[in-house]
Amino acid sequence: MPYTFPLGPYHPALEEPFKVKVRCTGEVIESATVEVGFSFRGIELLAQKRTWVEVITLIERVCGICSNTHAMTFCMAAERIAGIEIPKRAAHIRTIIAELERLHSHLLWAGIGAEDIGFHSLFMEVFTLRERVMDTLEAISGNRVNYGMNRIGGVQRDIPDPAAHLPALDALEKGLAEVVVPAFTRNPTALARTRGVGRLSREQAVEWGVVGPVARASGLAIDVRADQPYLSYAELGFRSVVREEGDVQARIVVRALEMLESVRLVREALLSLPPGPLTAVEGLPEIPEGEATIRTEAPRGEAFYYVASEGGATPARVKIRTPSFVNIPAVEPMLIGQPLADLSIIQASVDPCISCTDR
Amino acid sequence: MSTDLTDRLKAVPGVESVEERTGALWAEGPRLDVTAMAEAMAALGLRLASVTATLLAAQGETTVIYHYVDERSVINVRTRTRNGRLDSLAPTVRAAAWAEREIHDLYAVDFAGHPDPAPLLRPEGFEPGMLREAMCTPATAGKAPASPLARR
Repeated sequence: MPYTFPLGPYHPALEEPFKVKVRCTGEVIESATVEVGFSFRGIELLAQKRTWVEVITLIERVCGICSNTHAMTFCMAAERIAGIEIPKRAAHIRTIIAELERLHSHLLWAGIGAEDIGFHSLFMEVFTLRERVMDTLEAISGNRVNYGMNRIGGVQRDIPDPAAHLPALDALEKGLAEVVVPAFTRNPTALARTRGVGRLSREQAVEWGVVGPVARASGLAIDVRADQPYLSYAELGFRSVVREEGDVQARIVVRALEMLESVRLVREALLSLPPGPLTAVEGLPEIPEGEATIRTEAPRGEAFYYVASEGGATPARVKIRTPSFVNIPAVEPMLIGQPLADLSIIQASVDPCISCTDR
Repeated sequence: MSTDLTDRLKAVPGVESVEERTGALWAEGPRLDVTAMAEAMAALGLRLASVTATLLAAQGETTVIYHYVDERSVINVRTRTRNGRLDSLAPTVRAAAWAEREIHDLYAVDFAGHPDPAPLLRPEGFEPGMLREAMCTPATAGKAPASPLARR
């Protein structure tokens, strides 16, 4: 007899509150419904009531994981409206922080993914590595969560000694190549729990409009860093990672190999950090009347911002479409026909960020 | 941007103008046929990335912008609600489903024909349009941030 099983909104398998309600016959999931909205804070409304500078601080609180992405994308939108071109050194520093953020986000996910399949020793290994990234972010910005690096026109802080961060990158690359990637791609326990699980075909990926590693794991070669290069990505070169299988294993492999590419990007950017100023604008920015749309590649995929200005002290409209907002609904087709025991790892495999989604 | 894309956008029923600015294409169509627009965008292979609602007043009509992406550029199509309604794209465009539910919750725009118009962000006990009035209240922020640290 069919029965309904609710996972969430508060559950040990979930980082943040959301709900996946599944209907099962025996052990097999027949249908699934996702519910969000438990962390709604009205940030888009608040953004209309703060000055352009204050909004940077506010927007950084959209997400506790990809905080830099949001502050950076908002600043890029304001710069686009005002016609401000940021200095090359600032673009490099933004790229470094963005890729370090991707590293810590993917490692956070890898640790949680390991825990979700009962692989606790791998969780410990991954989180030990993640600390190297967090230490580097803290050394550069002074913070571990909201880095406060962005300002309209450039960045707030310099990286005065780029070479000081290279040993951490070497250790990280070694740990990724020797422990994390082999554990997820060759260990029999990890393979048994992820291969062929939670498939999203290429056609379904197009239909549901997914982005980021979820799309790339289903064979869609889309990545804003390559398709519409911004900051220093065109200069540094970029290799996108794409897999065709569309299962949980493919999503893991895409993220794992992306981390190695992120290490390379950070190293290249540190070694080629150009001289020059950190900002194109001194003092408070003047944002004239206008509107702009900006896309950036957040750790979970394309972040899309629409920002409008009426030339006043505050933005007239800030619309935030996070990658999780389009990736989370695709959990529904991934779950159909799957065993209930895989519900936890399948929902986790899209790396859902509920704080981002609800705003 | 290609002139072919611009021409095909101009051919969508209701599109009155198309121009390129701030690195994107902007199509304006106050009386846009959104269903025809969605079909044209699908034929062009464009992905619906987002939908933005902006308010004209606390009561009355709402501006809605459909943001499409061809992976190398952004195409924005702006229209306006008619009696607070627009046809839903959700029956044919899955990516529109959550976006329309959110806009209904926050700004009370009705999307006719939405297959699942359940609240997305709206808690129990709140009526649709819960941000409309607050969004239209003028901001009272000063020109400079309150904190002296932010004035550097």
